[in-house]
Amino acid sequence: MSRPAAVSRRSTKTEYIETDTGNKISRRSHIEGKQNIMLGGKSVIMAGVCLRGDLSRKTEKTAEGEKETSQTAISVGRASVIATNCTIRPPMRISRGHMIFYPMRIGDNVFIGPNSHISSLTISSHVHIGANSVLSPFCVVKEQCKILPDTVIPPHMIIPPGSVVAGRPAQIVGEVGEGWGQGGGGEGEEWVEGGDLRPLVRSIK
Amino acid sequence: MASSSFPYTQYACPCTDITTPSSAVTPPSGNATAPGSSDGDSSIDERSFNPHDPRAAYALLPLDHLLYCDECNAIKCPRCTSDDILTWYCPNCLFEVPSSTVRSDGNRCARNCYQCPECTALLAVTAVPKSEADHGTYLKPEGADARTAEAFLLQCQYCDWSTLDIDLTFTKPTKIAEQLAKYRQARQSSVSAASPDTASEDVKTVSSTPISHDLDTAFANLTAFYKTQLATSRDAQPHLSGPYTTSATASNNTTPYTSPSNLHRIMSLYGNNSLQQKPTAKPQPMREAQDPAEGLFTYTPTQTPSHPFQDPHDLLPRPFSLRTRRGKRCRTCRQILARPETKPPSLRFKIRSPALHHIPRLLLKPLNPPVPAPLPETFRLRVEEKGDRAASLSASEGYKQGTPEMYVLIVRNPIFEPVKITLATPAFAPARAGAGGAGARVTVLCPSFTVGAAGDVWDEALGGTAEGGRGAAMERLVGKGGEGRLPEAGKVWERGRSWAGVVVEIVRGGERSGTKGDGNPQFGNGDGDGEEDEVLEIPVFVRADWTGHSAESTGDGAAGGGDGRDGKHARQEARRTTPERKQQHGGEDSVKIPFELGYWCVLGLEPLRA
Repeated sequence: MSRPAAVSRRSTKTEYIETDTGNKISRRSHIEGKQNIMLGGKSVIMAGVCLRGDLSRKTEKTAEGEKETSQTAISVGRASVIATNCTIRPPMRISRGHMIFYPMRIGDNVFIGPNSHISSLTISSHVHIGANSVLSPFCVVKEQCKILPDTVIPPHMIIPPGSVVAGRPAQIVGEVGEGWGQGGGGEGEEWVEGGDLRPLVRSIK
Repeated sequence: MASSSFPYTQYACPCTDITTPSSAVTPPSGNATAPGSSDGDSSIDERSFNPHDPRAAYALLPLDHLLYCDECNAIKCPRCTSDDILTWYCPNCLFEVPSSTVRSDGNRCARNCYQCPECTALLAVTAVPKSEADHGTYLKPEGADARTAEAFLLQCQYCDWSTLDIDLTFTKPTKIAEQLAKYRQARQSSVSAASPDTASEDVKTVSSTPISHDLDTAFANLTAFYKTQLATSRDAQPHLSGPYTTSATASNNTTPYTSPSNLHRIMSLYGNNSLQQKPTAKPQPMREAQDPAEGLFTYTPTQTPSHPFQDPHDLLPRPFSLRTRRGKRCRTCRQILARPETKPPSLRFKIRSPALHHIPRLLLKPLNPPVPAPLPETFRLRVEEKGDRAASLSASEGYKQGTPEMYVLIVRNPIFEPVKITLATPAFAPARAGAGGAGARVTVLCPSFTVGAAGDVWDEALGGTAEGGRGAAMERLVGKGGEGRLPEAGKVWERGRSWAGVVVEIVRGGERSGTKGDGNPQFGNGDGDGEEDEVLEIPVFVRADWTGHSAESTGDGAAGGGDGRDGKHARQEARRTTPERKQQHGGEDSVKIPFELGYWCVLGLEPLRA
């Protein structure tokens, strides 16, 4: 488990704290339950982002007084960018009178636009989420999807790979082209949605 | 065309103005120059691509939607490729549905996947205590045999619609389709018998209300009408052998236009194509229903489009309609251009030949970008307020009507051979007719240059320094970031290993506004206010010439140019296709073949702010 708030090797004046694996975490982000959050490396968490790692499933072995161990609540892949003022909250539901939290997985090269509220179960790799989106609890976004800005994805919705999704509630409005995510990331080239986000991560300072 | 960020580039498929897709590399024939004469700019003004043509909206596509056929050596858009359906699958449960099931049971998921009829969100099976479903009371004692007395309903978690709204509950959480079918059957029989209480034992209609018959009867009428139409057309088909018999039977018929067979007969008389065609193969023209007795059903103005049914009891949970996974083929040579794997939960391509691995791509950016350079619209990292938005820097910041705007047009070469690029733009890019815009004068300072070959991804990675590769390269090339340099005609502005940038000068407002601006600056500004909403679209004709070994060398280039994610697949594909190609070309691999490709692009520029 990587420690998100590792000691910075740079001067303390910078906006971002960079971890050993290259994650960039804004000093102005709100992170709860750091020990339950995994970042894959080269991922960015920007200012105002709220990560609720404290909402994790606890093991229910309190019989012999053994200490509670909790699982990973949020895991983010490599080179994913969570833009400003997003809220990432693992999904939960009540089962047999107990609130059960489910771990949330975000893949590699995922862009989450600003002011989004993410509570989905899984977001696969190469997904582009537009600004002001709401991903309701337990929704699953498969790989290479594009979610247009201001979309509200209803709970439990599953978005098949390669879909373009929009609307309130979200509907599949199209398919991404065959070249989705290709050809970007080159030197001096503009970034491509769903493509390699490492240049974008590099540019955020 | 709507695009999320400026400046954008869209590519025109050459099939646009050619009715049959052609393998030859020709720009749109109707309003464009022929490839041979593209260098001579004698009458390019009249024959250039018009981005404001109504048909241009269908021709222009972002590059990731285009494919490339290396047999035909041409760009292929969705309109000049044919789709092969590989599998059907439900978008919700991602289960593959065999084609036989699709044919027999229809294009719907037969599992427990239902959409809300109100808002299309997913319906979830929810358990409720039976007492609540039956009487709507919560008075049952706590925990009193809750397990056995459960009823189930489908509930929308977005808009809170549930099957209780149509007085429908299920006895078990599985086999919803079966239970729904029973409910529907019961309802239909109740409609036909006009008795409301013929519900089955499985599905309970608590308080059935009379359902409007209009739709059902209309549908029954319509099916009857189509059946008679089909029957008459089938009966008449044996008489379709020749024009003599058709005229004889036509004279017997008293109403000559009513049945499709007669229509077809008349058509064949004048078209005289009855000799070549197989009568069974072609669907025949059919008359549509003309009055309510035949099943014609029109909406009355009182019905809103979102609720065409007046009775909310007509709403039923909708099973998800299936989606397809499709492969793409070139229409001309049947070559497979894209073939995804059939497993619905993943999207990997066995074969893929996207155009952005084969054709030079264009990127326009301002010569002196504002600092810090703005992110593309889709990669905005923070949402700005209204005031911030206006104050934020943009590509065309600081430019006014009639003053020259300087841009760098970067041409990037994805293939493994050096490519000679020739750019051509109309001297005057026209504005949309009637939109009030004035267009712009466009000058490409260096219209003809060479771009180096694309290399391996590794070269790119090792060549670029860790921090802002491009800026460093620029400084290496031109000392102080190009500050002191002036754009020069005939010179490439900046150059990388597989890309080159040339300066483009754009003067918006054209001659009209320019002269006004000279004489009376305020007047010119006034013009600018009126035109600020107009997106400027500049057509550019790109011609690429290169020499390559054969078709597969470009395919190989594509494999290297990929970002590594599907590079493995592409390489496999290249390796797989190599032997058969070699046989085709029969040892002339060493011979260099000249290739040439021409296509139109449209560069979209942000409207000027006043």
